[in-house]
Amino acid sequence: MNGFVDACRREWKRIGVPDAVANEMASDLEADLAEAEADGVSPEEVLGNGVFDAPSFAASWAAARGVATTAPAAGRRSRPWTLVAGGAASILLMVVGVGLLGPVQRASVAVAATRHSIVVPIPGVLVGPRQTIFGPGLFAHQVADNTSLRIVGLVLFVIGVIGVAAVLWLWRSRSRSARPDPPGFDDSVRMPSFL
Amino acid sequence: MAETGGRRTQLLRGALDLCLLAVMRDGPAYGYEMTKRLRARGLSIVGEGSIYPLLGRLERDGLVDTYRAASNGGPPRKYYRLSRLGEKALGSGIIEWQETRDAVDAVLGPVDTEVTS
Repeated sequence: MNGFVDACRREWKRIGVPDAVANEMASDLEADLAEAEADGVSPEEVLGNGVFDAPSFAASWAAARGVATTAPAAGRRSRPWTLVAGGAASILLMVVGVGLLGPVQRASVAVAATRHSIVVPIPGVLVGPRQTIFGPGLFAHQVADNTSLRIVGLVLFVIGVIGVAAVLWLWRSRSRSARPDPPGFDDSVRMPSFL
Repeated sequence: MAETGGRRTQLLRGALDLCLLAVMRDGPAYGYEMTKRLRARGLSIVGEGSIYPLLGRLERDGLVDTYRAASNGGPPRKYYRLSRLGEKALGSGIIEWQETRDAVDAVLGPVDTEVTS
């Protein structure tokens, strides 16, 4: 059963159980399993269902003792208010991004409408290198500045879209994990119960 | 309707902590030793949960005290013994268990087993 104890050790390390505590638990487990083997007792008699899932057993034990510093992945859930705040922040980024994109177009139209002969090439991602905008010299810097704003706006917009997508994905995951727990699930430690 | 095995698991979940506290009244014991005491009284945990997380919870709740000592010819073990709080919890838990058992018996007892089987 050394493999079982090793798997427990890995899980304890992963969830942040202090080494001294993990060593103590592993030592007790090894000694108990060795004694059971000498008595001709099966590991299942000692570990119950836990013998079939070392990581869950280890995490359940550590959580029950209150020595895990990080929640096991299986039990981690995003809180609703975190998701709502994340969604709101993402939508805000999108709005700001659109807001920065919009004025540039209006400014460009306004500048083009003046029909002055100054040609201002606008390099960059949003305006092709060969594209030109006609406008007075007074507005040329504004258009160039607006291009930077436009890039910032697009970046913010894209980040906002990614944020909204992530929030929706997390919300769906959370909804799935909020379904009724199967028999044998311990709600106090949010993982399969090993009593 | 829960399957028989599932019901046993659920019932044990509500009573195994009391059983552990009860066998600790015989004296301090380490994990496997408690498994042996339970088995000697006819309670096997095969197919059920492990006692280790439960012992951890009892320790965290202050119902047991622990200390490390050498076992008989073996390596040092963590021994569990009833705390004063654990004694009280065992006493009130036994009353709760008996009341529940009696109430359920009053309902299920008169039922003809041939009907339910």
